[in-house]
Amino acid sequence: MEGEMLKGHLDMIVLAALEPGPAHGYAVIEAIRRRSGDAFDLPEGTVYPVLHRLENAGYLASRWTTAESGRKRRVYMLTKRGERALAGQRATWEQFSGAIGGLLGRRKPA
Amino acid sequence: MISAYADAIAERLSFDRALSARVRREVEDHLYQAVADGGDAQQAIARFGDPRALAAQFAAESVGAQVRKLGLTVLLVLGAAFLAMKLRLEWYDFTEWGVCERTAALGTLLAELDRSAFLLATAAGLAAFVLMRSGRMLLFWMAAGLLAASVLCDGFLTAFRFAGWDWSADFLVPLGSMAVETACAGLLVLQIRIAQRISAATALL
Repeated sequence: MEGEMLKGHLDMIVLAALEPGPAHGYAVIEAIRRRSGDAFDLPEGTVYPVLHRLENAGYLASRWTTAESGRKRRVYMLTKRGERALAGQRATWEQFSGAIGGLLGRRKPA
Repeated sequence: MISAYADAIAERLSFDRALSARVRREVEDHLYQAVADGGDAQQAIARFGDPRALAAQFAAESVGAQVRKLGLTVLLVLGAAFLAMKLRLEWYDFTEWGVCERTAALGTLLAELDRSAFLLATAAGLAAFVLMRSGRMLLFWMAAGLLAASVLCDGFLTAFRFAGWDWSADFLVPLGSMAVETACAGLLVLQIRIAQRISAATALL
C-alpha cells in the first residue's frame, strides 16, 4: 500500500493496534503487520513519533518496564480519551469506506 | 552498529535531553528485539528507516510546543526584568542612594537608552507572542537583543551607582536584580536557540 496513503491514517492504525492491550513499539509494529496481512509497508521507525504524538495528545499513556532480556522497554496503552478517539475514527472510516465502496462498486452497463 | 544508529537519531534530538534519551532507548530496544527474533542487525536498521528522517519526525512533534514555550518565555522574562529594574530603583530611593556627580550626565543618557531599549524589547516581545504561530524567530531575536542592550545599560548604571561607595550589604539588592535581568536575557536567548535547533532538525520533512 502507498506510504503517503498510510500516513494519513497512522494515528487510527496505531490506536487500533493498541486496542487489545498495552504493548511496546516493536509489538505495535508486529500487530500492525500481522493484522493487516503484511499490507502496510512503512519504515518501522515511523511508528515511534506517532506513539509520542498520541501520548502528548492524551490518547495514550506509557511507562517503562523491564523486558525479560533486562532491557528497559516503553509500554504504551490506550487512555479513555484514546478509546473514544478510536471509536470516533472507526465510525468515520466505516462511513467513508462504505461510501467509496458504493461509488467504486457500481458500474454502468456497457 | 545498533548503538551507532541509535546515537545518530539521539544526537539530532539533543535539543531535548529527555526526548533524546527516551528515543535512544526505544530504538535500541526495538532493534535488539528484532535481532533476538532472528533478524539481521543491518536489515533491522534498514527497515527502521533513515535516522535523519526519523529525527525530523520527532522534532516536528516538538516544534509547536517549543514555540508556545518561547512565546510564554518572552512575556515572563520581560515581566521579570521589569520587576527587577523597578525593585532596584525603589531600593535606591529607599536607601537614598544617590548618583556620583562625575557620571551623572552619562548616567542620564544611559538611562534614556535603557528605557528606550526596554520599551522596544517589550513591543517586539508582544509582537513575537502575537505572531508566534508564524514560527519566525526575527521578532524573538529583536526582543532578546533589545533586552540585552537594556540589561547592558543597567549594568553600567549600577556600576555608576556603586562608584565611590564602600562595599556593604546594600549592594546585594542591585546585584541580585542585575543577576535576575541577566538570567532573563540569557534564558530568552537559550529558548530561541532551542527553537531554532528544533526547526533545523525538521528540515528533512
